[in-house]
Amino acid sequence: MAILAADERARQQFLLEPEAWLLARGVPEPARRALRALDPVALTRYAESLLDKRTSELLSAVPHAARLFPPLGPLYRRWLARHPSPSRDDVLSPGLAEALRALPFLARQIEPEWLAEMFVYEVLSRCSRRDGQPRWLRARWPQHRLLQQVSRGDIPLDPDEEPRRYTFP
Amino acid sequence: MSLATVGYQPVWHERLLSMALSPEERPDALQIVPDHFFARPAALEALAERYPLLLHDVGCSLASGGPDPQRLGRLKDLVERVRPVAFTDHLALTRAPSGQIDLGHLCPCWYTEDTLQTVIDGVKRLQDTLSLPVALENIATPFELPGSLSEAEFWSALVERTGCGLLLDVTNVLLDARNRAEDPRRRLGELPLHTARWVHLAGGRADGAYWIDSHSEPVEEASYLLLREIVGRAPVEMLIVERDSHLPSLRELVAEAREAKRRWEAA
Repeated sequence: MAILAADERARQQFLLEPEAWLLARGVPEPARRALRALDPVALTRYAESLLDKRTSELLSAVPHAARLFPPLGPLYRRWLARHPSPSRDDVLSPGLAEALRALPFLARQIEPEWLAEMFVYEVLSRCSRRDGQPRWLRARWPQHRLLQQVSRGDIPLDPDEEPRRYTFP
Repeated sequence: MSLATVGYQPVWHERLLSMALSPEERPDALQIVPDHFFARPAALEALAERYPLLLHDVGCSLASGGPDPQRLGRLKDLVERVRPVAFTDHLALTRAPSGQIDLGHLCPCWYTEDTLQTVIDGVKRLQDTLSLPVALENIATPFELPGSLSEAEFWSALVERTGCGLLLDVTNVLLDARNRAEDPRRRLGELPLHTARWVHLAGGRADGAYWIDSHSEPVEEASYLLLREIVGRAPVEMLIVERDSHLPSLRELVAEAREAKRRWEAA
């Protein structure tokens, strides 16, 4: 059930050929019968609600990058549909845990580069503040100052590079 | 007497501890999601000095094996620090039994003997570890998985064999009934109301003809009316108003909880 709800590819295959999909996974008959009876509309709606919830949590966890790069939400949502979240054992909030997990993918999608780096800075600094784990970032831009600017409501335009190494927390 | 309780949100933390908190902003008790405090348990102790606390978890996934040892250890640490009145979670699963997938949200369980035993084992583990009353919430069910037991049979066996209680979410009953075009009073009759010491109220929203338990709106009149149906049938100690988005001020949410309490006591 969890796979059907969280994995878009699996769900699409299941909805096309339920019995074949279930047999291929060795699901025993009583469970096959129950899953075959699932309402496809309800299952899809539920899966969408999971994506919405996680996307909202991620955007709340990185408010500055989310504000400056509106495609962040849709990009993450599409990625999440194909990369379900694994169980985890940490004290991060769900949004931060997902931002950290999706960081390599999302950082490659964000433009311009200083903004991608701001996203990384925001994720790493917030994660370390939350869980106390040491993290570091070799940055090309003075992200602490850029974030202050953004907090004040200013949008940096083509900021000057100023390489430095940040350590968190 | 029942306590006018609100679901804690981090944005209200300082206010709840402020000496300047007005009587209108002060809830009788707080419902706490433990995840907010795993990384800073001392912050919960400050709240516990001022308010009775009810722990309300979303991460035990009782229908797929119950809490993992790490989570159970964190919960035990919090409980020992603040001695809440009870521990609650949901009759649901939030992750695959293999640990391969974490849904991050509540998924209905399959009402079978096997699932019942899994939930019973998980509840007993919680009771033994936390030494607290444990209650499970009836979730809003986005779909149904036909099993060998009815919902009523499942709940009845669960409370009988574990002594756990029901955290009755009145709004979930209402919204499910709307989505299934059923009478919510019938569903209420299938739940073990005699064990419901805690009650949730919230506001959902409609997406077309489908109602979502969004916790984004004020409690609607229909939920209050349904609440009346359990007067004399449930030993309610806490009336908990939840809001997770479109957060109002603390004063407004406390006013909703007080309204629930007023109606409960007047009924």
